[in-house]
Amino acid sequence: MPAGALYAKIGPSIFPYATAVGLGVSGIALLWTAGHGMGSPSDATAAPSLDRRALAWLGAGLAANVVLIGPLGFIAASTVLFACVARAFGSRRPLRDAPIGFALAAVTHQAFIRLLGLDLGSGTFAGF
Amino acid sequence: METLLALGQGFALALDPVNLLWALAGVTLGTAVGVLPGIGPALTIALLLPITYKVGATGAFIMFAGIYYGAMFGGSTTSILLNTPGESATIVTALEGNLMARRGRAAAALATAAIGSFVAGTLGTLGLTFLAPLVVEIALVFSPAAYFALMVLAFVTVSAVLGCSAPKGFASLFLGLGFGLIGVDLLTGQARYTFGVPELLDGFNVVIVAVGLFAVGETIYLALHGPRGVAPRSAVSGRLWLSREDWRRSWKPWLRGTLIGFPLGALPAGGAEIPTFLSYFVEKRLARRPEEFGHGAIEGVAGPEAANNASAAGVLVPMLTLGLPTSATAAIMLSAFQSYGINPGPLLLQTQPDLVWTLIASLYLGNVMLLVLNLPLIGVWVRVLSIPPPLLYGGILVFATVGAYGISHSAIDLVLLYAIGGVGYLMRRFDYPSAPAIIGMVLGPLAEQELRRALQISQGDPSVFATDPLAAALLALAAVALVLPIMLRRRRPR
Repeated sequence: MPAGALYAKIGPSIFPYATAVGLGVSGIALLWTAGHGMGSPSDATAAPSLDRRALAWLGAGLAANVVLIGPLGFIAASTVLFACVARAFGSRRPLRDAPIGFALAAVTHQAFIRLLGLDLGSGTFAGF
Repeated sequence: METLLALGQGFALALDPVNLLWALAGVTLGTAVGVLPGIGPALTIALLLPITYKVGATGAFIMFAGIYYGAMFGGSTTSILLNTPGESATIVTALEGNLMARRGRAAAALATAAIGSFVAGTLGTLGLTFLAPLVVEIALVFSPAAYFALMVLAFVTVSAVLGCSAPKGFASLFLGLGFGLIGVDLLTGQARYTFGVPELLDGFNVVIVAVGLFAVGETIYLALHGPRGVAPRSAVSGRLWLSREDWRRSWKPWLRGTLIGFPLGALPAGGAEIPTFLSYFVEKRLARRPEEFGHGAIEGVAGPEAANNASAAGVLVPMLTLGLPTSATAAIMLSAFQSYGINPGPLLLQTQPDLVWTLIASLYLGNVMLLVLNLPLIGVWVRVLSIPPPLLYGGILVFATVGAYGISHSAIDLVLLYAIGGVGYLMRRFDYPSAPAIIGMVLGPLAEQELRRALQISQGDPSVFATDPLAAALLALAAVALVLPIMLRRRRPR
């Protein structure tokens, strides 16, 4: 990155270079330890079984939250997120989860507005 | 004498009903997050950082410190009853504590943990009270070069000494340093790593990085690889107290744990994990009946539980006197100071004496509250453990969203939060410690300032780091901390 002549010696580019070098050296060291069988035990063991369905539900919940929080507001988006995450953790009772998520989001929303004066954007649930 | 007067003034302010309420809120919340596996004090304080816009500094820090202390108390409950550590600092407690619980001695294990935490927390706070003014006197003569060297030492120790692998610790540290670079350079106003995106000019928000790494990363990890179903929980029967025999066997480990935990916490090596492991091995070595270790020895609970609380007090020494955070929680607290426009460092005690002494006084009071919360009221916390995981982690992600979205109301921040959560998941999956990343991100910009200040004073001559005796000594120490573990590993036959 270009740096002014006044700061050429001790300018804003020293730390970025140092950080880049540091990351590179750490990476080389990691490769070296892995190549010499000195990695931590978790590297050697086979990957623990990955729950694909959990991943799908979790991903869906996070994506829905990002998409919905603008148009529908915090409470509705959080209810969807809550229900999806609960499903990812093996819950089979969406009709129990969704109201709990809704109540939790509504209480949090009110707490933020009343106690902290931070508006989370209410969307279509403006009345709540 | 001067210290006692200042402390008395601090007590007068801390006993103000509003401040007492903040302390109570902090220790209660702290115990709760300590009890719940998967969330810890660093994450909780990060989520609560928005209160710094609304609440005065004194109230906020009383609460944050209460959360920090409370988590050390609460974590032991989970370790003992579930054999799942509630906090990384209570991993060792699970060893003997859960064995005690399985033999029907859960009440004694919980009691020795709570009373030991109280003893160590109080002694540690005493240490903080009298050590802090002394450290400040020394720190006032630090040159920028020495300061930079001290930060380098802290970087090396948190990365190389903590965790299982030095390269992984350093990779995490440099990742955090890289995050810290994003935004406008404070000294020249030059934008770095913003790629022309105006939102990045202010840099990454520490809330998003901390909440992403800890809350989102941990939740993804547990969803994908975590155990299914509810872990078997040991029952607590009888009154929570210690027999005469238990007292006799506990008090020495408490004091030894304090002696190990406080100094190690106060050194820039930081963290509460190492002192708990050390304390465990010391107790095992000194125990009159070492054969009981592995079958539920009370010494193995008493010592480490004292050590982790004493180290929490110790960590506050460099934090309040040098502005040097040595644990993830302390790093988040440092960024809370920054959001008040307060720079923790040697001048803090002079410019904000009321804040510091009220905070310290409230730590004594918080310890007493915690003893009450964790002995007679233990049943409440045991019930907290029966929250089903789907609801618990759903709630954690909702709170994470509040924390990130509340800052600027932008869905971009949520994308960033979840992306960093993905990084946090990978780090968790492959055993990369996340504390160095947080410390690097918060402390990195300060270290850069000191480095450039030092070089400006010396007119660009880097030999200042060799000629300033303090800086040279600290850098030499950092080199030793870097090389020594490698040497020791080499000598050990494989």
